[in-house]
Amino acid sequence: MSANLEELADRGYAYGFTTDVEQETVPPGLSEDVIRLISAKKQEPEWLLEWRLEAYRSWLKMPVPEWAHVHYPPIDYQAISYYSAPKKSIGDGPASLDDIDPEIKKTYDRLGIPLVEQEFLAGVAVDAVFDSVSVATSYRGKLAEQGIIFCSFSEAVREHPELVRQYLGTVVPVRDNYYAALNSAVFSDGSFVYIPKGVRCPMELSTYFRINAKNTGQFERTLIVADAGAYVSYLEGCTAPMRDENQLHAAVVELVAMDDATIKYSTVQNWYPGDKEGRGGIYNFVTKRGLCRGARSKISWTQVETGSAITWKYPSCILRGDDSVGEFYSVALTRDRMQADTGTKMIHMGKRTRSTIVSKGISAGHAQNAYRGLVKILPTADGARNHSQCDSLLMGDQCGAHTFPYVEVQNPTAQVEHEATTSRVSDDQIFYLNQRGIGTEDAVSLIVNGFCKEVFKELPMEFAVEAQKLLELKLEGSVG
Amino acid sequence: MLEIRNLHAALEGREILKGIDLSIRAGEVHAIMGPNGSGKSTLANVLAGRPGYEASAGEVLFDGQDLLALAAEERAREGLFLAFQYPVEIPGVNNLYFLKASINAIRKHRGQEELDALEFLERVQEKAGLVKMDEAFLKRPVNEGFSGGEKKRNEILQMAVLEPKFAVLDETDSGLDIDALKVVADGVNALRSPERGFLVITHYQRLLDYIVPDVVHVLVDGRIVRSGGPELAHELEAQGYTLYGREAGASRRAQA
Amino acid sequence: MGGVSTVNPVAVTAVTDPRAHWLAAATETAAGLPPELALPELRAAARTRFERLGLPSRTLEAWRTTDIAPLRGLEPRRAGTGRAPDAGWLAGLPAGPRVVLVDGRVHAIETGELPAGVSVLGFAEAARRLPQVLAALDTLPGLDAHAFAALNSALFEDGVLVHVAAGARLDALTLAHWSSGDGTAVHPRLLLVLEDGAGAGLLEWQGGQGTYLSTALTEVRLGRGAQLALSTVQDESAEAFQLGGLRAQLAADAKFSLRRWVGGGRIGRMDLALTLEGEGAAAELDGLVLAGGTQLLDHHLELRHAVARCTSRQTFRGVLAGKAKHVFDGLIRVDPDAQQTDAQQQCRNLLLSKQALTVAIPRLEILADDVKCAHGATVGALDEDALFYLRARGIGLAEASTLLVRAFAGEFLDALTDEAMRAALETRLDAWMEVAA
Repeated sequence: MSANLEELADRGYAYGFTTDVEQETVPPGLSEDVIRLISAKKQEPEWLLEWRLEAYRSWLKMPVPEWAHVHYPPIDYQAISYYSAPKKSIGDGPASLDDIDPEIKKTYDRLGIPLVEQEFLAGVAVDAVFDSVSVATSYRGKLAEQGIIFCSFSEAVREHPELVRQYLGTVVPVRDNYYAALNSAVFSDGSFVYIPKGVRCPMELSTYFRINAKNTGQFERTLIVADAGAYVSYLEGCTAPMRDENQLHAAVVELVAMDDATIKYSTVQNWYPGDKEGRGGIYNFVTKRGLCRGARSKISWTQVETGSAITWKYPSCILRGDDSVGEFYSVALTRDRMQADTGTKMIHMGKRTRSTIVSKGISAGHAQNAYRGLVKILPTADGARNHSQCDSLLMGDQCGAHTFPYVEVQNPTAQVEHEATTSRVSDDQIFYLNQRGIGTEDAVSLIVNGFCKEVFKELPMEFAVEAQKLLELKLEGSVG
Repeated sequence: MLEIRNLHAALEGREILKGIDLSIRAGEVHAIMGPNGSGKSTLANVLAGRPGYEASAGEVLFDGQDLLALAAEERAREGLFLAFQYPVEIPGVNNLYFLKASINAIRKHRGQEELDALEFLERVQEKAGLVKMDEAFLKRPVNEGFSGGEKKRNEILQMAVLEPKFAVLDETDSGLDIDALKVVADGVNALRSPERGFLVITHYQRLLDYIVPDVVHVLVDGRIVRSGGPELAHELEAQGYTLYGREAGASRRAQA
Repeated sequence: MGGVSTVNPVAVTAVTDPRAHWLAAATETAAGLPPELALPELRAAARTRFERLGLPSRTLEAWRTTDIAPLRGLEPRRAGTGRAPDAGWLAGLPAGPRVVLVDGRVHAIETGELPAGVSVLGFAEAARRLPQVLAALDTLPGLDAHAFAALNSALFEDGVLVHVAAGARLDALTLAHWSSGDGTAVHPRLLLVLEDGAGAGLLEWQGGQGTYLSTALTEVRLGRGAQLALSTVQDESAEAFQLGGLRAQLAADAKFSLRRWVGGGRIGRMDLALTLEGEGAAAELDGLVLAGGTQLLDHHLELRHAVARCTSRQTFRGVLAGKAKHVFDGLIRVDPDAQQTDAQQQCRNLLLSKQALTVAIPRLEILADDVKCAHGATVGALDEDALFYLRARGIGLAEASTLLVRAFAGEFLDALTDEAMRAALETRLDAWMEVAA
């Protein structure tokens, strides 16, 4: 591989600025008192506090997970602040769009997410989460006309406690894993979506997560319920300032799809990845899982992972309803010292359930990129189908690509196929494009975008363009 | 238009071109013939600037400019086109999208406006007819799953769309049946013009029945050993490269 | 199974740590060994390794899929000497030169006259005649974390060395293992050393009766340009625990072709560790697993491309009936310097029953950027359309299924060059299908 190419995998992080805003931050440390404090600040009902405390007590007893291809020093959970919020919004929940602190507004402007309805990408409603709280949710009135609930999680707890209580923790149980338990204990905010029976959500719903404060963790919780016959497409974007310390992001996302419902969940993750030597950056330990509860329901995950020092996430589908469908489309780009261990689990329980996995891993520099996935076909899943495709693209000879698919099949009528390939950006391809007048940077972008195409086409239009640009930005650099 | 003076070039430390002199004026079509391993493709790759091919001595002027000092993409933007002997497959990259990126990079270099989607499409469709290329191919990834003939036609289509000043055709006839060969030759002939130069590299005279050159050069062991008119190609077809060294012994026996 | 003492309730902790049992066995074995096989350093290192590892449990990632709980209660004993292999079994072996081992000890070497440069020796004799070759025991890379390989090293009492000198050739040799059962543990050991440019074609045939544990361990060292074709028929008794291993090291341009037919054992797990250490080395691994009843048959494989321009091909097929479980866990590791690696891995499974379970874990770890690596795994049932087509032509369901399974196994069988062996395995396949389907 030519020297040029190796240098290509570098470019500054464009979202690394901090916002100077007065914040209220709970001092670092984790205890039952801190949890009571968070719960009190959010004026939560007693049952939710109990739920949190139960999670906390479980978490204390759980061993820290160790993964073969992710290396990081032990996290000091007492050094993290579990709650930080811009002062103005505390207690009141999300303000109306006019009431937002101008500094925060500016922040979202710089991020390309103006919190002004008429100016924003047509037809996308946004919930903006700044550190621990939701600061704004747009288009709520319009959505409410159709009975759609789209609000911050805290607000949902107050306004729709019965719905929250009915579904919270039903897909990702409190004790599911170490980080899910931690999240259950201390989660601060996030988004809540409910689409009533037969309603097709008329616009894309979106949450934009921003970590701003120092030494804080972000522990948001998202719950999306699509009732029978409903449809919703939900987008999630994330950024954080550049800081030398590592910051922890441990989110939980639960999706529930009833009969004939469809949930499409798209993520463009661009948390700060740390610098070239691996200092700083976000630890992104996330549990995302969808339950296809009803017949013919469908959950589709699409993710473009370009940031974080460490990514550890496996958006999964439990295909319980007959004829339900699970999809996972992923692009994970790692460069410098980034480590990504990501993939999916497809658990087939219902008859004729189908799943598709398309994973594209790109490694450059000294980065490590691992796909880890499980396809499990239970004896009840007659006629189940799975197709998995895991491709890796390597740029440079210091990086690594790892593929760990687990295929467990307990039903003879199932058809499961897994394919994986590893390739590199070849000098022949670069030269061919050079010869047609296309510079090396653009040539690499073209090739990488070609490699990722199957995933990008799953993203909503505006996001696909964003994702493509983001990837280009990540791959650009000084061409020698 | 293209002046090659005493060009020496090496690949992986081994000298392959050992002093090439060649002058091609606008409007001319030159053919280079030679046995396998004589350096034909090396010449094409050195002209196009493929990494790894080092010019160790001599110079190449393209419209008076030092060609060897330019990066591969700069040469392309200046109007040098190489029709590859083995066009590479680029999975996932749509042929049309690629062509548009290419044409706009070249236009930008020339200080021209980028083509809008409609103009671009019209232009491609027009040229696709020229090489009898099904439009479906335009929507497929670059060269992926193309047959040998389809890849070569795709090269000629790109040439037609990009309208280079000077084109090097590296064994464009290899692997083509007679019908495909005619289609490719017709495409090239349609592009001949007083402003454009061609260097046609081939092993066989067959191609030169369809693309009639102004000058034919014989390349043997890294040097041009003879130049002449189109009739030279026929002479070579009849006699092989026997008169020019290395293969002489073997060929003479074969003829006896 | 007789001879297992009842647990003394006072000494529960001592008895439930299985390490103690095995370490005691090692001491007993060492006492009875001829001096040339005492190998004190090798034995001590193996004991230490086993002490550290203990018997594997499912909490270990490498043993997550292999539940050896049925073995834990067994505490197998050392096999007595002087037993003979079953006569019928012996008669069914392919003709030609052969070595017969019983319970891991050399029983008969019936090779006739061997080609020049070829030695086939029991370990005791090898220790006298080719000590420098025998010194390769336990020095090849791989299986360091495999407790049963450590046990084998601590406990083997004998073994067979096949040595082919540079440029020499051994066309055919059968290495037959018989285990006499009766709740014993046996530790067969093979060392196959081919010097530069040597060639050999070997057949290993494993069989036995009753209950036993075999830790059969094979070590393969191939010099530059050496070529070894090894076929293994794992046809252990239905009550056997076969937990063997194989490690192989290939020098430049060496070629190792391994074909494994696996049908026996209550639990049959094979751990393979291959290291391609010289440029241009090539490994070709093919497996056919037929699992029925409550059998658990595993293949765990680590194939390491350590240098540039090596190729590897793996094709494992499983046919599963009853409540059987088949695991294929294969890792291809490509080191940073191993540019232009070409590695392919295929795992295909055919499920004939609703209770059968197949687990495929085809893994890639790639640290070089100019490589061609691909793996694939498929699981499915017999093709309904094909079954119907055959039945519409008057072929009964059972026969149609057999035909299709045969077609599935065909690529494995067709590649066998030994006609007699192929015919023998085809007959076995049909017999297996009659029981399974």
